[in-house]
Amino acid sequence: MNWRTLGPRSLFVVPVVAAVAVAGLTFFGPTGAGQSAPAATPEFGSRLFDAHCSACHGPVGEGIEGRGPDLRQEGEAAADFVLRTGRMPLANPSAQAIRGPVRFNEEEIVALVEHVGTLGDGPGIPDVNIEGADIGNGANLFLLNCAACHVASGAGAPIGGNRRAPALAQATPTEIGEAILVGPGAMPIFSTFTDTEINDIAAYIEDLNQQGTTDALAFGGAGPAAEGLAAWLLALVPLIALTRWIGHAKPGRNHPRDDTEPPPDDHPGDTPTTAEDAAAEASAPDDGTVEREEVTPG
Amino acid sequence: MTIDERDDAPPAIPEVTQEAIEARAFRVAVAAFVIAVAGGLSAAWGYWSDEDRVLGVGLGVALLGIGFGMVSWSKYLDLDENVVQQRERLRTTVEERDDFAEEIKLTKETVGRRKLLTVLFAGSLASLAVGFIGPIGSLGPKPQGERQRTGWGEGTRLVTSNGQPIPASSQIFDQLATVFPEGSIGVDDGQVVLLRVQPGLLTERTIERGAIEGWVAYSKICTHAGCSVGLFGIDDRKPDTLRQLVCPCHQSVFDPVDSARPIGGPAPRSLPQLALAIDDEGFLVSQSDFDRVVGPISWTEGET
Amino acid sequence: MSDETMSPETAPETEATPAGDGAPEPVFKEDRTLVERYVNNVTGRLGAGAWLTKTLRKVFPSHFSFLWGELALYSFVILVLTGVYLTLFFAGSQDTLTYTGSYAPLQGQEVTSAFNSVMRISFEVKGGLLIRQMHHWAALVFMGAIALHMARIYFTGAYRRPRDLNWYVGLTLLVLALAAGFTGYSLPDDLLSGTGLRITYAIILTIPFIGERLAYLIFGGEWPGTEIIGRLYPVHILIIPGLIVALLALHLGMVWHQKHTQFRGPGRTEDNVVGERVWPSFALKSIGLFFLVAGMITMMGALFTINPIWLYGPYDVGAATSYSQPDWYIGFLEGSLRLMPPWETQIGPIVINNIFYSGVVVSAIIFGGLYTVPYLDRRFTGDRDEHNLLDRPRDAPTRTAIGVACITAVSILFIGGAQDIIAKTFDIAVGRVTTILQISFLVGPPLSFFIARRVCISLRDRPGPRRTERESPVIRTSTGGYEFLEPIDSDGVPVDQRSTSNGNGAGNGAGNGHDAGHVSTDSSGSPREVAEP
Repeated sequence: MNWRTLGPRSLFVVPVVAAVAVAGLTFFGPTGAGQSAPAATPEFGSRLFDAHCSACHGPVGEGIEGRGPDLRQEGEAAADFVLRTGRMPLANPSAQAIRGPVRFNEEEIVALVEHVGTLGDGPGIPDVNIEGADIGNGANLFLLNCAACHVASGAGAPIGGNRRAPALAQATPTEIGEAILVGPGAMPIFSTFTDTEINDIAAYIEDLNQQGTTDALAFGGAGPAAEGLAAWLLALVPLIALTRWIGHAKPGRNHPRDDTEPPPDDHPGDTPTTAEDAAAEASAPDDGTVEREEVTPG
Repeated sequence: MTIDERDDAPPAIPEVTQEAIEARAFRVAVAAFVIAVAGGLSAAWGYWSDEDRVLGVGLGVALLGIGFGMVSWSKYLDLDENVVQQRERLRTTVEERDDFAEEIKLTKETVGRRKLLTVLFAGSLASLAVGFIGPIGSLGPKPQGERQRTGWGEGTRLVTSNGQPIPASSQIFDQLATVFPEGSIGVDDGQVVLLRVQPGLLTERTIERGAIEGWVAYSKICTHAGCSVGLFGIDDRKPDTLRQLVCPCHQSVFDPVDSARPIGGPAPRSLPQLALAIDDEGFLVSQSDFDRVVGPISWTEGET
Repeated sequence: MSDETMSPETAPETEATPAGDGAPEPVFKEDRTLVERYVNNVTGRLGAGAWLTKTLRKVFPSHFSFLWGELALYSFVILVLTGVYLTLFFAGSQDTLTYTGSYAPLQGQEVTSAFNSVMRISFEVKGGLLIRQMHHWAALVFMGAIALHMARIYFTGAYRRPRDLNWYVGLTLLVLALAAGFTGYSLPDDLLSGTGLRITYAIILTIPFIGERLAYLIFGGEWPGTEIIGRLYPVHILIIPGLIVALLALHLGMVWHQKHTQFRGPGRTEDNVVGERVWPSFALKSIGLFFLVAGMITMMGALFTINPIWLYGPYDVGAATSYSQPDWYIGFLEGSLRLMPPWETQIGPIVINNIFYSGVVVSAIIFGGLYTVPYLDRRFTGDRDEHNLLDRPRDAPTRTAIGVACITAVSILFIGGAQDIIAKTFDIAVGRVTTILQISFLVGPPLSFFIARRVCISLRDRPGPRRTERESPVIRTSTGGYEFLEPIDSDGVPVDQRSTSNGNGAGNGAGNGHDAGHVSTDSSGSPREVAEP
């Protein structure tokens, strides 16, 4: 029968596909690894720099026109940030550096970071400690300064010039502190923040990640537009499928009686109220209803 | 009268199919109602044991179960049918029209006879409407130019949201802060986005309008629709440099090194610039209030 | 139709008996069931027996798209129910206080009473978050259902006389629903609602002559003021819902009185309705649909976070978040704000900012256009007849094409409202997305008009047995039956095929020995027999 074949069954598949698609918006992933600091010799760092960095940034980090920026004022914080998030080395210098697989082991990173630190007098790696931080203050500062680009949920958003502010789900507290200090990529430097305030912000971002604000169940934290899409795909499309099931009547039985009222030339307010009236009215019409009316009361 | 009244009656359907369908609909309905009961009970359990999601899902299952059950019930009872009902004609008959015309005539002869009364009645109603305009006016004060003034003035310090003034001596560039006039933190109209860029990048007119040592301050209220212009993308690291202030609401883009002129998106005007100075203690202060209205303009505020 | 209640012979007859002296005879001598008692004691006093029976036997045509209005109706019922619950907790005031609730990141922050109460609903009231999320999801579904319903009305030509009147009522309901949605979005006083209100304030400012004064009247002074939430609250919970209920009653009353339209099909004419009776089949399904809608919305509320105001925080003049969008149904305005080029026009002393175009002019064009649809249809087709039979979209290629073109234009605006998310998802620069959408806005509608029209025409003129039902004349015989020249059922399948494949004439299978196929037996079948399964 028609209703059993459920023609629109395929419509039920759409929400599932949609859920996967929405999940694709969510940029989830595990938290980055922690860090320790084994000793490394300066020569090792220098050698690594020559091998992996100097092609774009120059032998002493002075930068090469058209390839890589000057590193002398970037400091250990910047080097640690880009190496631990896999942003460097970067194949295409005109592309935005984004989080990727980390290319160096712990020992190499430490050596490189120390080497970059010796090139100039940029900021050192901040000591971010989220234990006991004031996440209330962090929330306030985050909404005032960070949410414009990174979104209140931490989902990240496009900013001008085909750049995008990354999602914060994978960022460790130290990386957050480093980013605030050095302003990687298009991010400005927020130098008015004190160390305590940086701790607060990092603690709040950690809290966001704990809450899962960019989960699939929150549609990647992408706000009302994503929610609207979800309302259509997850609620309205299934509901339309259900109306298809409900509204798709079988041809059904043919009921012989109900066409007796009201008679075709009836008008409102003048409908028969008794069976006798109905029969009397119905005796006049053009078609064969009379015959039926006679049997109805019986 | 039925649709299938005709000589070539449709062939009889095998009884088995029909019964199988009814049996299936019956089973579905039974299962749906049982599931609904289970859902309702688990919702109650979820409430008592503080499991919000169980509460919600339980309720949802109960409601969906009832819904599926009822529709399946209808299918089980095999109630689908073709009933023909005649439409009533929604027309006014000649008699009805004449009756109504009589009413109108009566009205004209009685109520409508005294023209003066009718006019006065309408007039008194109109005066009532005029009289009630007054209280409507109390809903809001008359604009007294508040929109043209902000908390900034001569020598007002720029402070962050927690009250810290900004020392001008910082040597860090490409930085951004949201600042307020000292004494009115968090008050609308006064929010300013303060940038520090390499002084050499700023255009001449930006410096003329009050940028100082690479510090430049703009109203944070977008000239398009009034959102906070919060996105500041700056990247001086060659080769791919970028300097943009962007409004997250409608993606208006402003050039922060050239007096925030609009370079993309829907904003038609540049962000008002706050003229800066440095006070005796080395903190940033404003020279005066903005020279223009901040935020979106009203219909009277043409470009000066 | 349960046989106890219908008893067509008894009920009307008794009602019609003049009361005379003393107590009238009860309708049912023995009133054992609840229904019988109801008929005796309530309809007896109201003289509504005939009305009741007539109502239960009212015929509704079956088509799945006819249920979309019900989707909206039932979402509205859920909105009212959940909304009443929320009002028991909500505080419509902008007095500030320090947040001391259980959500740690906001503790100690200065918030308004409104924001605080919504936080309390979300975190302290057990089950409150579920109800709040249901309310919000129901609003999104409500608007979607209205849009679908309206599209169905348009594309089938159901807005034509005599239902043009109801088109205006329905359209006003849409406007009211949008207003309800917008005011509701604004009430929690979080960053997004504050941003939305700020944009509204900006749009009002630009209205020539009255803009600034009007904005001050609405907001109680210069933005942000301390009045607006307290003012929107009664508008959201009393005025708009009251108007919606009143117009909804009118809307449904008119549908009821004018009877529902139906698609063309065998036996279906302008003068009849072919379908199911209200009781029991239509009512069972329709009430079932209510529970399905409620269940779906409850599931959404239980599983998916919506509008996490704790992340946005209280409205703060300096704060901003990306992806600050309105709820989807306001997306067309958001899109027109985002896609409008930076035009500023000066006419004498009057400056017209581009948000006047995007906010006021675009809305006026969209809703003005919708209100004039019945008039334009009459004007350009010259068709002033009453229509109770629906067109299929392909039957009126120009109308369909115009509808498709308008939907294309509005859809581009909706997409434009989320242009930053598009840019992020597909990794394109925002400015480029904007340009693409601006061009599509100009090119898309005419293109879709042309394509839709071609498709309609070729579908309509497609030869073969699946042609439209209009081509399948049904002749009513002198004995009241129908004669089929080219038998086709409502799906366009020849009746003979249909009969074998899905068992037409289910009455046969019901096992009551009633053969629907022959005139003679049909006439002799009593209603009682047929009503029984």
